[in-house]
Formats: sequence, C-alpha cells, structure tokens
Amino acid sequence: MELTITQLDNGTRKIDLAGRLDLEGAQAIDLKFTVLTASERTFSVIDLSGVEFMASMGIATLVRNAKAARLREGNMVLLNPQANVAKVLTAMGIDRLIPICYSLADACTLVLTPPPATT
Amino acid sequence: MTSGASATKTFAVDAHQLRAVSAWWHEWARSAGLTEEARDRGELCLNEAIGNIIEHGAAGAPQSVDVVVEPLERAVSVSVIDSGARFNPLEHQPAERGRSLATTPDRGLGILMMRTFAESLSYRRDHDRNVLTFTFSR
Repeated sequence: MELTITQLDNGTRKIDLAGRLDLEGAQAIDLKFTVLTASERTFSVIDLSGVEFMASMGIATLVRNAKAARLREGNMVLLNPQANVAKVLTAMGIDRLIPICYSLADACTLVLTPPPATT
Repeated sequence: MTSGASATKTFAVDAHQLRAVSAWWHEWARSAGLTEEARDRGELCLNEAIGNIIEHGAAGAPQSVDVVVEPLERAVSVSVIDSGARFNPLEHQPAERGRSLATTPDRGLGILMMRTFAESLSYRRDHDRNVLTFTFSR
C-alpha cells in the first residue's frame, strides 16, 4: 500500500493511496495515515483512485480517522474511488458518513465546509 | 485448474497470504465463468472470512485454512475451514451501519461485509473444525 502526500494551496492535505486496502494494506499505512489525518486539526482529501480493493479493515481505517479528524474540528472527504471500491463504500453506508467526490475541486470545497451537526 | 470444477486449496493463516487467496479465487472464478460482480463478491467474503480468523485467533489459533469452492447450478458455494478453537462469527452481533460518523463503529465490520455481499451465510462445527460457508449467485 503506497501513501503520498500533497499539500494544496488552500491548506488542504491531499493523500493519495494506491494498492489494496485489505488487512495487510491497512496495517502498512495505519500509523502514518493517523498522523497525517487525525493527530491535529487537518482537512484531508483522500484520493482513492489508486485503491484496487477495499476490505473492512480499510473502511475501519477511514472511519476511525475521519471521526478523529472531526473531533479536532478538521474534516475528511474521499475522492474518486474505483467502481468496485465505491460499491463497497456505498453498500456499507460509508458514503453517507464520509463524503465522496469525483472532482478535486469539489473535494477541496467540501472538505472545508463544516459537516452537519448530525454527522 | 479445471474449468467449473470444485476446488480446494490450503493457505497459511497470515495477513500476507490474503492476496494469494484472492489471486487463486480469481483464477478459479474466471475459469468457472463467474460474472465480474460475482468474482468481486467472492473475493470480499473470502477476505473477510480469513481476515476474521487472523484477527481473532489467539490461543489455539489455526496455522492454516482450507478454502473449498463449489459451483452450483446458479450459484457458488465457498467454505472456509479451519481447525482452531470453536468460533462461530455469526454468533457475534455484527456492527450496524451508523446513522452518523460518531456512532459508526470502526470494528466488527467484517461480518457486516459478509452479510452484505453474500446471499447466504452459515456456520457449523464439523469434527473439531470450524466451517463457515457463504453462497452467492454466479
């Protein structure tokens, strides 16, 4: 599982994930992903276009860190999941909890928008 | 691998083996003529079933697991068999889809995944072995 970081001009952090977000992949990025998305107030766009497979451990990683980000008054959105990954996220209801965008511009706008109080 | 025939393979219970499981499954599933959706469902369920054994195995954890795939007329049956201590994952309350991020659990999602993507899920204890079987349409 590969993780690359880009700091965008609007202060958002774009994190590109590539590979399989299965048990092995989630373990490989867990600590670094947490530091990057949830250790301080951070607005993160997680680019999933390079993720070929999403297992429950991958979902757990996203959920755990999205929660932590919001507790620190930051936010997280997901960007461009492949069709099979999007299907998993939707079937598991994750799309209703962590927004999924299909353009970087939309993601950058949405991540800086305070989420509704109920989420 | 004979097209469409039942198949069995043994894998080590190790996170690094999950990708080998997926590769073997896809090879069999393509030879059996499964749709792409069916291949994806099978891979997800297999990943979760074996991942569950890896995560929750403690004392008495099995060293290996057998995967048995059997084509049915309109469906596929996949069994994951291990010789660890009795463990029926279906007895454990699966995580529920949360209404909000705050109430969504970040653990216990594997069973929910299997229930979501398999059409049926069953467990039995057979000669000191756990047998978890799931089926889905071809």
